[in-house]
Amino acid sequence: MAEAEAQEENCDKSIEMIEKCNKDLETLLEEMEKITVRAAWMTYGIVTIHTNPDLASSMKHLEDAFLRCKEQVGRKWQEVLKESKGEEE
Amino acid sequence: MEKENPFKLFVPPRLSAGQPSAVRRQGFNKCPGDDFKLPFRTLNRGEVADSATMSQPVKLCSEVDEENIETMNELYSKLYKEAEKIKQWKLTVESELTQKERKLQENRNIIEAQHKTIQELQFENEKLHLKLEDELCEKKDLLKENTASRHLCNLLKETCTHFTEKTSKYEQEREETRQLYEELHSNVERMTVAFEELRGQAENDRLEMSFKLKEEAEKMEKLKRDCKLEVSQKEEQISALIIQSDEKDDVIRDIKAQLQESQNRIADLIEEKSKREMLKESQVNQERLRAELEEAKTSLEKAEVTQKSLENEFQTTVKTLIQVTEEKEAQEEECKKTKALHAALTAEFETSIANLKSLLQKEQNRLEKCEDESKLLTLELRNKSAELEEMTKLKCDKEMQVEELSGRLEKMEGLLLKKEHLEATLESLQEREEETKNVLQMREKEIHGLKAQLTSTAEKEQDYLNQLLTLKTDLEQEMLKNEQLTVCINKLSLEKEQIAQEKSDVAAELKKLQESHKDSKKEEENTKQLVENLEEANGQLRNELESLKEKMAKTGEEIESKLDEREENMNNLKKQVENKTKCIEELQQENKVLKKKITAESKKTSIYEGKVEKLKLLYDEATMIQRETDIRCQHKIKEMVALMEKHKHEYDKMVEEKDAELKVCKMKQQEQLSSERSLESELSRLKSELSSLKEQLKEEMEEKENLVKKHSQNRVPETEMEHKKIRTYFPGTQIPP
Repeated sequence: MAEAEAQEENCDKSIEMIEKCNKDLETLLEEMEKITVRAAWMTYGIVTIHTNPDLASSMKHLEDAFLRCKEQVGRKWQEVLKESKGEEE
Repeated sequence: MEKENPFKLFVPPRLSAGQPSAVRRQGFNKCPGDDFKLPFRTLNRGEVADSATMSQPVKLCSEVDEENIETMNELYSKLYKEAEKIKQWKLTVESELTQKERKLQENRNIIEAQHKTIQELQFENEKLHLKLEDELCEKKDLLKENTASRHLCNLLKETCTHFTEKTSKYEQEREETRQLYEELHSNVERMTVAFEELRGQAENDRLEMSFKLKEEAEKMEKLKRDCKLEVSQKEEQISALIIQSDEKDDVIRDIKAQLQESQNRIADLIEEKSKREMLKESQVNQERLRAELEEAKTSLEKAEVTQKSLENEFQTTVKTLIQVTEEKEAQEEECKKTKALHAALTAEFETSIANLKSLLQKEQNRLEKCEDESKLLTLELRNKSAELEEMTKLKCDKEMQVEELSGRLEKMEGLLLKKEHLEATLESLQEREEETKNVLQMREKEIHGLKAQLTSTAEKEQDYLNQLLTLKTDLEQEMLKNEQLTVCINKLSLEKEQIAQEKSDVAAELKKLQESHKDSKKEEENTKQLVENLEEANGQLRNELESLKEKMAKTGEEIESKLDEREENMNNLKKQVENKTKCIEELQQENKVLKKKITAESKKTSIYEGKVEKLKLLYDEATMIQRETDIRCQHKIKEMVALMEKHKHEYDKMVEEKDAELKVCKMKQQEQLSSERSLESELSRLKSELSSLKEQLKEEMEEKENLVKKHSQNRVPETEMEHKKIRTYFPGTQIPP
């Protein structure tokens, strides 16, 4: 009988352990779900940030504008020099 | 037990002690009688039987024996009763024994069955134990798995916590990167706007500068061209003026030579007039002529000075015109207009020139004719007057000189009149100058053209003058000759008349020529007036030029200032461009740094993504594993739980049943044991009794047999019947005790 009682106790303990495990697993699942959601949100954010074409386009516009300015400034001085040389000539 | 009691009372001896006692009693009992053998045997047997069971002390037997002796009779009755009772009891006991034996057998069978069942149950228990052990092992394994899963779960918790922390950090970094991206975007937009503005400003500045430079270049080129043209023109004018000066020098030289000749002639005349009073007058006239010559010299010197001044002025004007270049573009247009006007004027002049040329040609023709005639006349006169030629020549020379002087006086008077006229004309010309002030620039060209014309006309006039002088000389010679001829050729009245007519004609022509000369002189005077006017205009123009110079200086200064400003602007723009380039470079560097940061962040993010992916995969796998394990565990647990419950129930039931059965069995066993014990005791008793009874029976049988033998012949069947009955009564008693 004692053995049966011990076995029952072990069974109860095991059941309790299993229930605890289940609860813990459920909590872990919830946490994991939350984490996955956050990770998914993170990836989404990172993807949106990386694939944001505005930056690239703005940088291209900047480069284009800068090159235009350079060209025009260079043209300006070159033309001025040429004209001055033409006038001197 | 009541029956036993008497036995006890009677004989409760021990077997060991009972046997001898029994033997004694048998021996003792035999003594009383044989009728009582049976009961005694029975008693003995009972006693024997009882002795086996009885354990009363032997001391009472002695006392009881004494009492028995006394109550033997009573006892015999009692014995009979008791024997009967015993018999009944035996029967009952036998029945009971049989029943009990049956019961025992049944119980034994039951026991065996229960043993079997117990064995089966034990087997089953063993199996169940094994199963339980297996299940316990499985439980242990499951517990281990659970512990492992718990460890994993703990690890997962830790990793989850780490991951949450990292995600929080990443979120912060993500937000920071977003802010940085936004800032970068705004900065980039600002930079684009600034660059575009710079581009527009640069374009506008460039275009403005280009336009201005082009305009200035064009202006400069035009000015250069104009200057070159003017320089060329002025060089031409200078050359022409030089030629004029040379010609004037030549004229002056000629005049000087003539003066010398005249002086010589005057000297001769003085020498001659020493002889004559006319020579004094001629001297006076000579003096007057000298004065006039001096005046002419002064006029010539003045003309030379004026020429030099004009030359200087021309040079200054050249210089000023070289300096003045910008305003002449507008002046060109005006010049064009004036060109048209002056073209008409030139046309008119050309017409006049053509007319003059025609007149000149006509005059030349006439002169040729006159020359021819004069040549003829000279030939005639030479033949006629050789001697008088000298005197006449002298006189003619004198007269010529006088006439020349008179002419010069007339010229001077005419000049004076002309001067008066010139003054009037000056006034008119001033008005004209006032009118023509608006056309200053073109008048320079007019000046140039007119100067050229003047030179040409002067040349022509000089030629004309020379020619006229020569003509005059010739004509005066001819007149003299004609007068001589009149004196000489009274006879030649017709010729004189003709000559007079010719002279009149020539005079008319001369008058016309004079008029023309006057006209030309007027024109010369006009041109001189114009020259003077133009000189005044030049002075005004000089003033204007000075003003223009000032203006030009101002404009130059303004231009210089503008140029300086433009240079400053250019420098500023250069600085701005440099600054902007620096800014651009800085921004580029920042962009590079940001790009590097972005790359690093991208790398980080990629790494983090990889990690996240790995973690995701791990988490997915872990989740899957967890789920699977959970499911499995749950299933197993459920199954196990169900099985356990079932087993529990079954076991409980079984256990209860078994307990109950066991209890029942135990009770039964106890009862059975007790019954067995009792039965055994009874059996022992019975066996003892039976043994005793058997012995008694045997004795009785022996006795009967003996009796039978004695009465055998008669009662053999009865005794056999009795023996059979007895044997039937004691079937079981044959078993040894």
